[in-house]
Amino acid sequence: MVHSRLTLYRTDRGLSRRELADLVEVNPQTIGFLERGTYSPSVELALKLSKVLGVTVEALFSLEPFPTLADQLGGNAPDSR
Amino acid sequence: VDGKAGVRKGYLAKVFDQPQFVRYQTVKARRLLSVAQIMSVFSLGWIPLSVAERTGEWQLGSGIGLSGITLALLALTVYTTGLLNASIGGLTEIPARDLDEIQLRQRDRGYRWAYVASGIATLGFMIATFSFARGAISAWQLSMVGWATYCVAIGAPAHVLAWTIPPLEHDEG
Repeated sequence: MVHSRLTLYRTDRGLSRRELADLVEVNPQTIGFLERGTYSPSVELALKLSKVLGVTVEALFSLEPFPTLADQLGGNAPDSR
Repeated sequence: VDGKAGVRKGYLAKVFDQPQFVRYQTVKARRLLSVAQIMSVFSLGWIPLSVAERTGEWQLGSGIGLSGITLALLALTVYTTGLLNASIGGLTEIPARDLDEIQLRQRDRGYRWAYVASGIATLGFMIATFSFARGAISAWQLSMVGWATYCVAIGAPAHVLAWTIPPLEHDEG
């Protein structure tokens, strides 16, 4: 399964699913599927998304779960409790 | 944000993208439509000729024309088939050039399982034919069940997709 930060970057850029879908030439439903992790994008689509959103592919998609904000702040790590 | 809007959309893709179809694209609605379409197809294949065989004519004594019943069932079948296709976003109707990679993936999976299901249905029909044709089931009944099975097989990809694809979301969140 591929984990995604698509929702984060899309909303940060002020784009709706339909607008992002138009920019990368896919169906708006496909954006929803990618955001929920139901399907994984092809290399081509991942590159298009990263180009449109202005981030690297690695920042958008990962094989490992992205750390949550709480994890990043250190408040949610088991060792820090 | 860089980029230029411009999705390539053919006529059918635009048709199935209409907002009035949104309410049919929930999991529950899709499955109900799938069952309704199968029932209407089998009703169309079964009821008119069954009545005709019993009455021996194409006109019922009550004054309701059998042809009217047939037309009503035909209309119901066309209606449920159309809504079933709309409920899956027209995946089996829209040309491949107008589908994106994930839609193509979904459609291919639907066709693959429909192929398997149709093969099993056809085998079952053949076994039923050879087992019961002499006696219990008349020739017209067999031909009608065969016709209905054929119709379901034609629509099988839509049914597979109706039961398998994730719900389509239309919120802009």
